[in-house]
Amino acid sequence: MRRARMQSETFWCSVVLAGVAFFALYPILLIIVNSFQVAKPGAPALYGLQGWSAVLSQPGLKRALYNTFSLLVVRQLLSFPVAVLIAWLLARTDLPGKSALEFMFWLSFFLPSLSVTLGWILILDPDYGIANQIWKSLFGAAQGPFNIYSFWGIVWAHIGHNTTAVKVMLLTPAFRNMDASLEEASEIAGAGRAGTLVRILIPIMMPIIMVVLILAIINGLQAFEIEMILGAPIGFHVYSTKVYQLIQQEPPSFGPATALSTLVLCILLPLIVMQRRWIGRRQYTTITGRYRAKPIALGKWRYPALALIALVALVITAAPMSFVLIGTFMSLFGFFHIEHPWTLRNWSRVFDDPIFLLSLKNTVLMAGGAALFSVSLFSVVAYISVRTKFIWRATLDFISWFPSAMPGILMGLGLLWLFLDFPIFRPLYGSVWLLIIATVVSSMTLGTQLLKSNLLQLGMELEEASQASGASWWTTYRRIVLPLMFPSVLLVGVLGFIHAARDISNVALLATSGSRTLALLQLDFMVSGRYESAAVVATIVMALTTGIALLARLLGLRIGIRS
Amino acid sequence: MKHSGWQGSFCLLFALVFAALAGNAFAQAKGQKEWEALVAAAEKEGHLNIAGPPGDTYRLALVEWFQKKFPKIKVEYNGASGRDQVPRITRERQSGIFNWDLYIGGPTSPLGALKPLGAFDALLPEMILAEATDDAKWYGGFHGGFVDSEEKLYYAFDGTVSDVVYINTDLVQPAEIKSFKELANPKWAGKIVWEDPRQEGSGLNSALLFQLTYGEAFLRKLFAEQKIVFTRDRRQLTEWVVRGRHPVAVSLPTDQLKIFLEKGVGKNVKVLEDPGLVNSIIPGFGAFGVLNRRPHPSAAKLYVNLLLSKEGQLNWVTSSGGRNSRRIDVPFGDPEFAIRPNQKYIQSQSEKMIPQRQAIIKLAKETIPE
Amino acid sequence: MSYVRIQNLTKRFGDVLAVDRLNLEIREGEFFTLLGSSGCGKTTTLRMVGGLEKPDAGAIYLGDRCLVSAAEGMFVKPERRDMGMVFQSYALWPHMTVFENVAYPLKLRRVKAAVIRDKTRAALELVGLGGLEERPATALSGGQQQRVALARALVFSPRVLLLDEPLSNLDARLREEMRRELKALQRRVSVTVLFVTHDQMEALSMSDRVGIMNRGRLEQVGAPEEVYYQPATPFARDFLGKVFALAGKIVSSGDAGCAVKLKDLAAPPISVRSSRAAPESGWTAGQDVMVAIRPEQIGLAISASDGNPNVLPVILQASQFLGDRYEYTVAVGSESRVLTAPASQPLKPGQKIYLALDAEAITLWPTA
Repeated sequence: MRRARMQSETFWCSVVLAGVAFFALYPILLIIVNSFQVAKPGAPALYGLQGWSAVLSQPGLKRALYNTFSLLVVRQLLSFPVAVLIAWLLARTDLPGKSALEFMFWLSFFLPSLSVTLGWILILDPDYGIANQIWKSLFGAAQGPFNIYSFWGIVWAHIGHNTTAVKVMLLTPAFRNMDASLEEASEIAGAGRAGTLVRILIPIMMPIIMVVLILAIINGLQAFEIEMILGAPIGFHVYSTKVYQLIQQEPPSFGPATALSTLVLCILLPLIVMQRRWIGRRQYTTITGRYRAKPIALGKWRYPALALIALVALVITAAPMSFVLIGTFMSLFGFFHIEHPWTLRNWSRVFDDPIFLLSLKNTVLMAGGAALFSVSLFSVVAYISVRTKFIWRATLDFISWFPSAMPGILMGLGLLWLFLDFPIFRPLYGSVWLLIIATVVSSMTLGTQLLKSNLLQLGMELEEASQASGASWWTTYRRIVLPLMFPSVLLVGVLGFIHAARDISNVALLATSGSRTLALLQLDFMVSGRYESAAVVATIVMALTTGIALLARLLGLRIGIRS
Repeated sequence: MKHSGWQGSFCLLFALVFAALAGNAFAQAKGQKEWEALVAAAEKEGHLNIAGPPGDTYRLALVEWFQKKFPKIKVEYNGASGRDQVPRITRERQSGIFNWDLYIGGPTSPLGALKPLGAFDALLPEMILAEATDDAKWYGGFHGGFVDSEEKLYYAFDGTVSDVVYINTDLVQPAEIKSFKELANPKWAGKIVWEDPRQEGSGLNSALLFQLTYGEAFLRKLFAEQKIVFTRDRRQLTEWVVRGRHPVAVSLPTDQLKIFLEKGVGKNVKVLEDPGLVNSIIPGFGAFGVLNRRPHPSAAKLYVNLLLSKEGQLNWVTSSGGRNSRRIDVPFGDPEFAIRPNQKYIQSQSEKMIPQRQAIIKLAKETIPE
Repeated sequence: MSYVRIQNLTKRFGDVLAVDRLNLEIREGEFFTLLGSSGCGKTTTLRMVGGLEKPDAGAIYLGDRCLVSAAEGMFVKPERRDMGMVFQSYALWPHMTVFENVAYPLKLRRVKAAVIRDKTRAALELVGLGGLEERPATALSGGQQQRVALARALVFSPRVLLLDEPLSNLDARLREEMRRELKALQRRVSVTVLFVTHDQMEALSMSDRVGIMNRGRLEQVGAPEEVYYQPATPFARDFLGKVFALAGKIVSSGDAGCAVKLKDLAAPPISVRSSRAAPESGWTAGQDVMVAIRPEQIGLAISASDGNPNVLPVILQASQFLGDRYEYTVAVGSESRVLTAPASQPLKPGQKIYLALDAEAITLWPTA
C-alpha cells in the first residue's frame, strides 16, 4: 500500500514534469537548433554559425548592452527600495485606505504601456511638453528642463508606469503573510521599525524578493516598447531593440535574433542557480499555526506615510490613467487647439468594427481560460517543487524559469512549431485553446515563482493538522493550502488574465480570423495610425481586467486569511 | 463577276462581322456561364481564407466589399505583418497544413520566403474576367504588375507613386530644396527625420531611390553626417513634422498625415519634388499571390478576378485610405501620388530590387552612428 | 493489553539515526509521555505514530490493526488513523474562525450540520472557550489558540490523542494551569494520550507512565515515581532532576545491599539498599562507584542522631532563600554539593550540619 502511494505520487509528479518540460523546453530547443540553420528558404537544411557570428558583428552591440545594463541598474536601484517600503506600509501597518491604495498599484500595472508613454511624451516633450510650457511661461526660460527623449526620460517612463507598480503588486501579498510576532520579537530585541524592516522583514521575504528581482532583470532585458519610442530618435539602443531590429527584417532574421536572445538565458541561469542556493538553506515560514496578523501602528507617521503613497500612486496611476482616458476622447491625441479637439469617433470606430464583438468574446474566453488554467497548473508545479520529495522537483522549478528567458515572439514561434510538429494538436490548431496553452506557457515563470514563494511561507504543520484531522491530500490542498495562498492565487489568476488579454506575439502567430482577440484589434488600429482608437481598445481590455481584479479581491476577502 | 465579287466580298464581310458578333456574343455568353459557374462553386465552398496585411483600414478595404457582394462566402481574414505571416505559413506548409487561399501584402517577405518554397501558383490561369486582364486598362499593361522575377506569381495592383521628401512650410520654403542632393548640405544637419531604413518600409524605399539617383556616397554621407533622427513610429514621425520639431522628413507616411489633415492640422506639411529623382511605384500592401494547394480554389479565383476588375480597384482606391491603383479607368485615391502617363517608373519593391534593398539595410546599419 | 504497539521502529534523516529500533507499548486510556531533550527522536516517533513520517523499519499497531509496517510495505495514511493531534505551534488555520477550525474534522467525516454544531460547541465548552466560536483563529491569545487546537483534536473522539509539546509556547503560569486542565480533561474523556515533551515537570506530573528517550532509543519506561527515584540509566537520572552524587568505593556487597566508603570523608561507610544495590547487580568489593540521591530526599539535621549509619557531617558554605525552600551549598570533604530543603530553622554559613541519606533511596552507579 505504501509502495502504491509512493508510486502514484511519483507518477503524477512525473506527468506534470513531462508536460511542463515539453511545453517549456521543446520550443526553446527548436528555435535554438534552428538558429544554426543557415540555408535560404526552400533550400535543403544547412547548419552553420553564420547566424551567431552575424550577431557579434552587429554594429553598436556593445554600446547597446552597456545601455541595457545601466538602464537596468538605475531602474532597479530607484524602484526597489520604494516598492519594498510601499509594500510594507500597505501590508503591515495601520495606514488608512490600504486596500484602495493597493488596488491603485494594480491599476497602474493594467494600464496600456504605449498610451502611458504617449501621455508622458505629451507632458515631458522638450519642445511642446506641457510641463516645459508651464516652466517656460513661469520663468521666462527659452527651454524647459524636461526631456523625455533621454536616458532619464526612459528611466522615468518605466518607473512611472510598471517598474514600481508590479513590484508593489507582487510584494504586498507576501508581506501581508508576515506573522506579527516575528516583528515583535525583533522590536523587543531592540531593533527599531526601520531596523526590523531591514534585518527581519527583508531577509525573511527573500524568496519573493529574489523572484521579483530576477523577473525585473528579465523584464529589463526584454522591454523594448518604451526604449523604441523614446530611445530610437536619439540613437539610444538597447539589447532588446537590437533583437527586435533583427526580427523586424523582411524576411525576419530569427537565427541571429535567437542567438542574441540566448544571452538572456546565459545571464539568467546562474542567477537562478544562485537564487536556489540562497533560498534552499533557510526557512521562510511566516504563517504558522499561531499566526497573528496584528498591523503595526504608525502613530505620528500615519499621515506622512499616507501622503507619500498617495503621491506615488497619483503619479504612477492617476496621471497616466487620465492620459489614457482623455486620449480616447481626443480627435488627435495632444492637440488641444484644433477646431474639434473632442470626439466620440474613436469609440464608435471600435464599436462599429465588424470584428469587435468577436474579438471581445475571444478575449474574455481566452484570458479567462488562461487565468483558470494558469492558476491550476502553476499551483501544482509550485506545490511539487516546494512540498513533495519528488526527486526531480528542483528540475521542475528550474524549467519553469525558461519560458521567460526568450523574447515573446521567439517563444511564440517555438510554440507554433511545437503545435505543428505534433498532429495531436491539429484539431485545436487556430482555436482559442492553443492560444490559452501558449499564453499560459509564456507566463509560467511569474505565476509559478509567485506561488512557490508563497508556499514557502506556509508552515508545514497547517497541512499536517488537516491530515491528522482526517483529510486526504486533495481535501487538504483544496481546503487548507489553496485558501491560505488565496491572495497569491488570485493575483496569479489576474496576471494570467491580463497577460493573455494583452498577448500579441503568440496570438499573431496562432490566431485565425475566428480566434482573434482585442490585442490584435488594437494592433490593427496602431498600424493604421489610429492611436486614439487603439487606446480605446486598450481601455476596454483594462476595464475587463479591472473588473476581474475587483471580483478577485472581493473573493479574496471572503476566503483568505482573516485578520 | 465583279458584281458577284463585290457581293462576294460583302457577303464575306457580312459573314465575318456576323461571325465576329456572334463569336463575341457567344464568348460573352460563354464567359457569363463560366462566371456563374465560378460564383456557384465559390458559394458552395462557402469560405475564403486571406492572410492579409495588418490594420483595420486594410481589413475593411479587402473584406467588406466582397463580403457584401457574396454574403454566402465567409471571408476569414487574418491580418498580420509579414514578419508574423510568413514564418507561420512556411511552417504550416511544412507540416502539411494548407489553410490559406491568398496572401495579400508587401512583396518583400513573401517573395523572400514563400516563393522559394514554391508556395504560389501562377496568376494568369486564374483570370477569367477579360476586363480584368485587359492590357489597355492597366498602367504598363496588365503584366506590368508582376513583381516577381518570373513575372507570373506575385501581382502588385496598387499604383501609388513613392513620395520622398516632406517639409514643414512654416519653417522651410520649397525653394530651399530644389534637388534632394541638397539634403547633404550641413544646413540640414539635425533637421531631418527619417522612417528607419534599417528595416523594410518606405524609409528604406526612399534610401533606395536616393542611391539609384545620387549614388551610394550621397547616401553614406546623409547617414553618417547629417545627424538624422531615425524612428520606426510612423505616427510620431508625422506629428513631429506637423509640429515642426523636425522641418524635413524623408518618407513621411501619407496615411498618417491624412489622419492629421482630417482634423484640420498638418496643412503646413508639403511634399517636395525633385525632377531628377528616379520615379517609382511602391505598392505597399497592395499586392498579392495565389497560394497553391489552397482550400477554396473557386472562392480564391472569384476574389482575385473581382479584385482586379474595375469594381475591385474602385473599391481599393476609395476604401484603402488614399492608395492609388495601377488601373487607369478608376479615379485616383490620392492625385498627388498618382501615376502620370508620360513618366517612367520603376517597381521599387520588385523581387529584382531585393538585393539592392538589403545592401542598403546593411549600409545603413554600418554607417548610422549609434 | 497494549493499545498502541511500536515494534523496532527506526527512522533515519540522511546520516542521522533519529529513532533507533524503538519498542513501546501504550495501554488503552493511558497518558503516556515521551520525555527527552530536543533531537532525541521523540517528536519523530510521535509523527510516525500519527503517520506524518514513514519509518525506515519497524511497525506500529493500533489494537489489532497494523498502521504501518516497513517490512510488509504497509502504510495507513494519517487521515485514516483516527488520531487527534495537537502541534507545538497549534497549527490553527488562519483563514478560518474558531468554530470552523474545530468543526473541520467533523465536516470531513460528513457529520450532519446540526451534530457538527453541537459537538463543536461541546468541544469548545470542554476546553473553556464557549462563546468564542465566531472569532477568527488569528485573534486569540496563545493560551486560547492552544485550547482551540485541543478542541479540534478531540472533537471527533479519536482513538489516540497525540500531543507534540503543546505547552511549550505558553508562559510559566499558563503552562501550569494548562497542565492541570489537560490531565483533568484526559481523565474526563478517557482518551489514550501520547504526549511528547522535553519538560520533566510536565512529564512527571501528568503521565501514567513516562518513557525517557535519548539518541533515538528508549532508556527507561515506568511510572513517574519509578523513573524519578529509580532511574535505570545515567541519562534518566540526570535528565529527570537534580542529583546529589558522591564518589566512593564498595567495601562489601551482600544480600542486604552494599556498603560504600565515601571518598575524602572520614565518616563510616554508608549502606545502600536500593534495588540497584541488589546482589544480582553484580557489585564487588573494591569497585569504584558513585552514590546518588535526589537532593530533596536528603534529611537535614544540626546534630548527629544515633542509630542511623547513613549520616554525613558537612560544613554549610552558603544558603539561598528560594521562597518555598532553601538551597544550601555544603562542603562534603573537599568538594561542594548543592541540595534543597524546606525552610526550617535558620542556618549560618560555616556551621556544621548533618545529612541523612535514606539507604533505600540511594542509587549506585559504576564510575567510568
